[in-house]
Amino acid sequence: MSPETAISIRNLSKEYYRAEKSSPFSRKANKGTGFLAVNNISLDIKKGEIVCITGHNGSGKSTLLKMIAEVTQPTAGEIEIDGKVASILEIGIGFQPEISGYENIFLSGAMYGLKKSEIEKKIDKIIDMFGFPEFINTPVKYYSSGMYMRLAFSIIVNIEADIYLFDEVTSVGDTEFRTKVTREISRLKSNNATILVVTHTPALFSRISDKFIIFDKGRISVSKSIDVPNNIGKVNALPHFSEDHLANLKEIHDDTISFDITDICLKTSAIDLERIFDEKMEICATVNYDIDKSVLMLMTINDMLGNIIASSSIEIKTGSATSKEITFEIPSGYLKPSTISLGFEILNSEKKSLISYPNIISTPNDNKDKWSGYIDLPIRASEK
Amino acid sequence: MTKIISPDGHIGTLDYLKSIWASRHLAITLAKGEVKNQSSMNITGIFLNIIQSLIGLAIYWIVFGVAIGINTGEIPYPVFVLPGIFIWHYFSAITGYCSNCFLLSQNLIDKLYFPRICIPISKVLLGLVDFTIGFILFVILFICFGQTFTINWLAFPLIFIMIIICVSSIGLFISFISLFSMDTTRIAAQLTNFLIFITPVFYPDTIIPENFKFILYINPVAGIIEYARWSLLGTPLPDFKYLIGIAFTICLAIAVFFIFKKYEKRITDLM
Repeated sequence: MSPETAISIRNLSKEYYRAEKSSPFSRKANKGTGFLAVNNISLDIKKGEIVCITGHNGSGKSTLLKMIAEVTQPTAGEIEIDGKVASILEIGIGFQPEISGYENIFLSGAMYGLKKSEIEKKIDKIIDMFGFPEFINTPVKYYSSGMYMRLAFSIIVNIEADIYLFDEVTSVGDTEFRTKVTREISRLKSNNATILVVTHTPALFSRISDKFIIFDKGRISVSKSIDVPNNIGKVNALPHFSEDHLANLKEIHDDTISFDITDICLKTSAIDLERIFDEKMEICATVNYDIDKSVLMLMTINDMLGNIIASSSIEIKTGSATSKEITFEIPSGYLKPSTISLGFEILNSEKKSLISYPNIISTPNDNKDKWSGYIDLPIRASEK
Repeated sequence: MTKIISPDGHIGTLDYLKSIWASRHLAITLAKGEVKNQSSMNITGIFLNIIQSLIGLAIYWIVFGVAIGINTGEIPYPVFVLPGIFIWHYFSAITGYCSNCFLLSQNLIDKLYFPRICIPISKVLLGLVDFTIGFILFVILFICFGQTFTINWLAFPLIFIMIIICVSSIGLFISFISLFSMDTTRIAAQLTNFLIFITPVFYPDTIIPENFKFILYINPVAGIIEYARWSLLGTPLPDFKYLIGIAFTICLAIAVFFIFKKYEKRITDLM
C-alpha cells in the first residue's frame, strides 16, 4: 500500500445467507442460499479524500462500511487500513433513554473509544455544537429526534480519527442539520481526514466529495473522481452523473412509458461553485425515450424541504429519440445564493407524474442568509 | 499504524488482552449507564435491591431459621445466611444478565466494533452493585448482632477475587452459548432455581450427608460460600475438596477467554 493510501481493498467479498426457516432451538435461521452482499471489489482510497458511496438498498454499501469498521468479517479478500477508524454506522448508538444528555455524552464517547478525560476536555465544545445547553441535563427520552441527532453528531465529530465512516447520517434531520453535517465533514477533511459517506442523497455531498462510488448488487458499478474545474469559461461545474446513478434516482409511477434521463450536467461560467448563483446556468439533460403520447418534461428548482420554488417545462412530442439533449437555461440574477436542489418530472397531458428524478443535484450554500429567500424579485422598499 | 482485516480474523493472545484492557472504560461505562437507566426508571431506585435482600433474608430466617430450626451454632441465623444470599444473588443475577446480553445489545454490536467480551463483562460489573449493597447490609447485621471481626476477614479480598472469577467464567460461558440457542435464558433461569437447593445458601454444609457432599464439592458456588463464611464468620476451614469446583471455574475462565478470542470477529455474524 502506498503511503498516500488510507484504505486499500483487494478482492473483497462478503457472503450472507438468506434465511429459509427459523428453528425453535436456534437463534439463527437455518442456513439458506448464500448470496454475495459484496462481490469481489477492489478499491483504493487516498488520504484526505471524501468518498461518497451510493446505490440501491441492499447493494452492499453499508456492508462494505461494516467490514472496514470491523463490525463484520469479510468472507474473502483483504482490507488494509492506515490510521485510526471512527465508524458512525448509526447516530445515537448506545444512548440510554433514561439518563441525561450530559451523561450520554460520556457513555457514547466511551463507546467510540474516548477516555473520560478526553471527553471532559471537549464537553463544552460538544454542548455548544449541540445547540440546546438548557436541555443538556434532561433525559434524552424527552428530546425531539432532531435534538437527539444533534447531540449524537456533536459527539461523533469530536472523535479524533484518521478515517471516518458515515452511514446515512443525513437520512433524518432537517435542512439545517444536513447543512451542519456537510460543514462538519468539510472541516474534518480540512484536517486531512479520510471520509467515506454512504448516502441515498449524493447531491448533498456533491460539492465536497472527491470521488463518487455507485454500488449495484455488491459490485462497484461506477467509481468516478470529481475534478471541480477552476478555469474561467463555459465549464461543467458539477459532475456528470452517470446513467447508473440516474437510474438509481429514477422513480417510476407509470411503467408503460419508456423515458430515461441518461446524463445531467450543469454548465456555468462561474469560477467556482461558491459563485454559481452569480452567473447564468444551463442544465443539460440527455434523454432517451420512446413514447406514443406527448409528455411534459418539467425541471423543478426545490428548496431543501422539497418545495418547488420555480419550475420550467418543455413538451416532448410523440416519437423516439436517443441521446437527445434538452437544455434549461437559468439567467443570472434571479436565484439568490442558497441551498437548492434540482429535480425532473415527466408528466402526461393531465399533469400526472409518470416518472420522477427528485433531488438530482443540490447546491449547498452554508452561508445562506435565512432572511434573503431564494428568488431575487425586483421589490422596491421606499419610505414616505 | 497499518491494520489488515482478513477473513481469518486472527488476534494474538497479548493483543486481545490489550484490546480488552483498552476497552475497560467502555465496560465500566456500559455498566454505569445501565445502573443509572435502571435506577431512574424505578421509584424505589437502588433501594429496591436492599428491600429485596431484606425480604429474602426475612423469609429464609422464618422458614429455615425459625420453622425448620437449622442449627448454625453460635452464629445468629440472619448473619449466617446473608453471605450465602448475596453471593448467590450475584451468581444468579449474572447468569440471567449474561444469558441474553448479546441479544439485547444486538443493535450496538451490529453498528460498532469493540471487544465483544466487554458486554458480558459489563454485566459482571453491573451485578457488583447488588453484591456491594448485600455486603454492606451484612456488615451492619454483623455489628448489630454483636459479632466480632477476626483475622480471617483479611482473606476476604482473595475470596472476592474467586467470586469474580467464578461468576465471570460462568456468565461469559452462558453468554457465548446464548449465541447459538434461544433457550439459554430459560434454561439458565431454571438451572439457577434448581441449583440453589444444592448450594449451602440457607443451610450449613454440615447437614449434608457425607456420601452426598461430592455434589457440593463440584459446585463452585458452594465452595465460594463456604470459604466466605470461614472468612467472615469464622466457621471451620472448609474441606479442601471444595477446591475442585473452584479449580473448575479457573479452567472454565481460561477456556472462555480463548473461545471469545477465537470467535471475537465472528460474533456479529453468529447472532
